Amino acid sequence: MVYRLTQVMLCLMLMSSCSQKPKALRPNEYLKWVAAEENGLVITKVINAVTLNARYLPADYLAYHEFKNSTADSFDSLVASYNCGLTFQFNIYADKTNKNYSNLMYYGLRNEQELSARTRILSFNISDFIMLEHDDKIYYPELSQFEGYDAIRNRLSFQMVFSVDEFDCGLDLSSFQDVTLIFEDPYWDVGVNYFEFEKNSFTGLPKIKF
Amino acid sequence: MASRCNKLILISITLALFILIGINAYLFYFRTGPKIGYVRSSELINQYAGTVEARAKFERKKSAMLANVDSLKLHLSQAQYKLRNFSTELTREERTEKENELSQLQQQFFQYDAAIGKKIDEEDKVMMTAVLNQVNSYIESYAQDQGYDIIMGTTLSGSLLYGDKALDVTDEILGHLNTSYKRN
Repeated sequence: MVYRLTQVMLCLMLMSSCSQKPKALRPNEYLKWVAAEENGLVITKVINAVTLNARYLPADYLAYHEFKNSTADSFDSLVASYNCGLTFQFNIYADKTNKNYSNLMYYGLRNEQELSARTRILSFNISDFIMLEHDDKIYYPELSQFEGYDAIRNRLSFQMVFSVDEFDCGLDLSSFQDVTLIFEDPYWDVGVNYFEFEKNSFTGLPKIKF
Repeated sequence: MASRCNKLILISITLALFILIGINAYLFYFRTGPKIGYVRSSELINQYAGTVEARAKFERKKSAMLANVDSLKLHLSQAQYKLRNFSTELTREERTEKENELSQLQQQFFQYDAAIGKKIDEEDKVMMTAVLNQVNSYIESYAQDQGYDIIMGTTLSGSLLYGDKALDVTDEILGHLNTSYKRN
């Protein structure tokens, strides 16, 4: 009995220590924390040797990337400028040695016209295949960018910003719920894929300390 | 005397533990046969939430495509009706001209109908390929997680002739597959 109780206590202690988020982290530690799948900001799926990876990019993360490459004085004002949108990055990649998916950009193409049509759609029609669901309502990106095809890593990247009123710039999340990023594959035979981000992944995120 | 007895008990417990670990290791590493399961393929695919959703979307797309075919068909039958019923009022040249127009319209309709049919088949194939890729990838990761060496599928071609019900993992996989479809 005592042994069982000790086990339960240990489990509870472990669970509580795991679920606690750090309040502030140094930039390098912060970047690692954001990229760690167990923290709920990154979701990965593998379909038919194609890896689909959805990442939520918090305001601090976006501000830090801008801050280190700019002459801006105030980091906080940069963070404030990113606070209201929900920014996600979506990556598709495959092993270059895979015989079907050795070049994702050219996968299934028959001619040059199809390549230019694909490039146009990937660049300007992201809202046709990436969207966000919150409380049974579909949101299309307010801003979207095709970050390009990385031939070395055989990877395509997209970045999207969604505006969900219930997010309330992260100030009051009482009516905010889990959100699902939806990827309706236009070319790679991986179908419709859902990436559910839990509400608690958006709360109490660590800040960057310099 | 008591200390000797305690020593003996300790040795016995340690020995028993070693034997237990040995048996477990033997069962784990040298088990006699591979772990096998099978799925009822068509049930698994038809009841997969991804298939249901993709089919509904495909049907909506197909209906929109066929609506264009239907309106073209209506236009064609109206032209045929007019020519049949009012041809006596036309001169010979006018009738020939109308007949040529109708023949062109007919040809256009057949070409469009065939093109739409081909497009629908292609879309159906794309939809099913994506769904099958999702199911296959899931089964692969399920098999690895659960330690299966082989998971077979029943097909219409009858490659699996008999399988004990205890080896049927269809419901288990379908449950997990549908849960993971929308919840990662």
